[in-house]
Amino acid sequence: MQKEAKKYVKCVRGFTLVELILVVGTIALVAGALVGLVGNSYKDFKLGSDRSTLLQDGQATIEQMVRILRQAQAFSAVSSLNDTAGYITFTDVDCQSKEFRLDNSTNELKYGEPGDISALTGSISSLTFTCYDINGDILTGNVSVGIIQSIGIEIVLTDGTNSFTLSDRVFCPKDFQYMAINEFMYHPDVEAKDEKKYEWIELYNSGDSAIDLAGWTIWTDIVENEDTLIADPQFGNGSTTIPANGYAVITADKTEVYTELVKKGDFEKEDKNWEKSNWDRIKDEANAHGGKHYLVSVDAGEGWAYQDISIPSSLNSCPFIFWERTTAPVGQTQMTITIRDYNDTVFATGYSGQMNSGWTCHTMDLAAYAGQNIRIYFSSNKTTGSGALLLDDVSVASSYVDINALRLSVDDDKIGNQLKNDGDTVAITDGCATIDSVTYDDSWGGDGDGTSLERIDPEESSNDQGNWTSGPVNGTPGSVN
Amino acid sequence: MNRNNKLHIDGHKKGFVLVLTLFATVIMATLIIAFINTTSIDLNLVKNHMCSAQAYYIAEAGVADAMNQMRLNGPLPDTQWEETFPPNTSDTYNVSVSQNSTVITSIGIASASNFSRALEVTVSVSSSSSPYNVSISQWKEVTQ
Repeated sequence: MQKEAKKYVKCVRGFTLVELILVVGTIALVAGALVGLVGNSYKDFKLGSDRSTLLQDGQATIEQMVRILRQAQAFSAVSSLNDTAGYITFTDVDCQSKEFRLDNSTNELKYGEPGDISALTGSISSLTFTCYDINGDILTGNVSVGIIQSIGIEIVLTDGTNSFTLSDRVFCPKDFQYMAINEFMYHPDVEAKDEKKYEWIELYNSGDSAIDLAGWTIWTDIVENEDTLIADPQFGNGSTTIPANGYAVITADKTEVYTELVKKGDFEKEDKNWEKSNWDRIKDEANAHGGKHYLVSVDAGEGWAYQDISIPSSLNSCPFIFWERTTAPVGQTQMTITIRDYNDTVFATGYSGQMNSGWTCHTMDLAAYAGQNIRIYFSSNKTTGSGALLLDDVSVASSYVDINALRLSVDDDKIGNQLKNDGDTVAITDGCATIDSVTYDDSWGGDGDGTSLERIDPEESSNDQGNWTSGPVNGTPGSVN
Repeated sequence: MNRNNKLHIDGHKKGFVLVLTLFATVIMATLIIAFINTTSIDLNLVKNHMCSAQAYYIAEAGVADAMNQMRLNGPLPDTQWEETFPPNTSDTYNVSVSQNSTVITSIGIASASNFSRALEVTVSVSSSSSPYNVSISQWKEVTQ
């Protein structure tokens, strides 16, 4: 019995102490080595995971910015070249003002309407914009946003451990308008109640192509004061197209920037200032060139109409404008416009030829007759009994606006909300994007002494005080500063 | 008889535990090494992906540069140039314009890793004077 029990104990005795020490020691060695390796490997895993997250943030940021900026309609403001807290304000494809801005305190890129931006992505410690003009030159200093053609974007992503940089450049294919607010009279030297009648704003097209300003708007102070630009109905020739390297002068309705010398030239209320034969005033809103009345010659034979005016001695231009048309058959009409003295001595012929089937504008500069009394004389000849000759909106305006300037107006008695004397914002838009804007201060010049405020270089920043100076008395509206 | 059988079975159990322990140890070690290896590969993959993305966007910048030049000058003769981007760094793009200014090939090079990626962009240039209208009709990545 004892012998059998001993045999059983021998069979179930387990491990010896040496075996246990060997096994436990081996496992401890292996585990120790593996724990070290796993620990390092986990660090690598975390590193890779963090880098991957950063990379995804970076790619999402760059691609979002590129996609949106590529469709921008215009830029309003951009941070300067070496500013690592970058921002850019622009008009997006839906004509909404938008902004990208890096919030340095949270390392978040924010996006949205200016003043109402929210986080787009995080982990961005630096955002830098590099702007290029059409020559590929980098724009430095206070960037003139109107001439940006492409934009370099550089973002530095960091999460405290990892840091890397992504850079891209966006070509902006929008056909940007090279239109500058070039000069304006914001504080005329007149009584305060009349100021709005003497205010004007000059635009300059520095591009190589003509631009039609139909549908463009102008506002002052806030965008709600927006006015649509129209061809000046009284002093303009009907055009809203500003030629390449040309000027336009914007005035309000009832402006005194142009002094009208012809009395009752629109024939709306009366025609008693006109001497005439075979021409009569008629009310016919459907066929008038604006308003309801015009002058008409119905009977066959010769006719004439004239008015005597005095041209002031001090002026820069004196545009003579009139509109004519005929309903008579082609080749049956003749009109000649001459400039004469009061004794009917002819100085010059302004137009001589067939009349046109549609309302047609003719212009002539009478500045050469400054200081003289002249007669503007319309003579006509209709060789048929059918149809009629029509004459409307005759104007001779003395002005210090250059004769070649495009004359524009707004359908209001003030431009925007009127230009403030102590400083204001003026902006022009193409109906969607802000093309140019300036926020001036009366310390910049042109403050109430009859001088204008002139931009020194239309291709440099509009909001840099150093790019503005006082012009001469009355300014140089419609011509080079 | 029963006791003899039990003794026989107990003797076999001892060997089984040893084998099982060794087997489990090998499996664990294999898994851990695989994990370490995978982690190492992943880390390299992410690093490569980062450098690759950098090179891609630099190549995009080269395309924008070429289009900017076409905007000013219209169709360019077959030409090639290299530029650092961003300025004052050692990263570069190498741009070539060919086929009567319709194909832009831009190779972006991230200098730190020497990674490069290439884009081939087909564009059309219209209008008769500067600024010319430049629009993209095809955009693809190509092997070098």
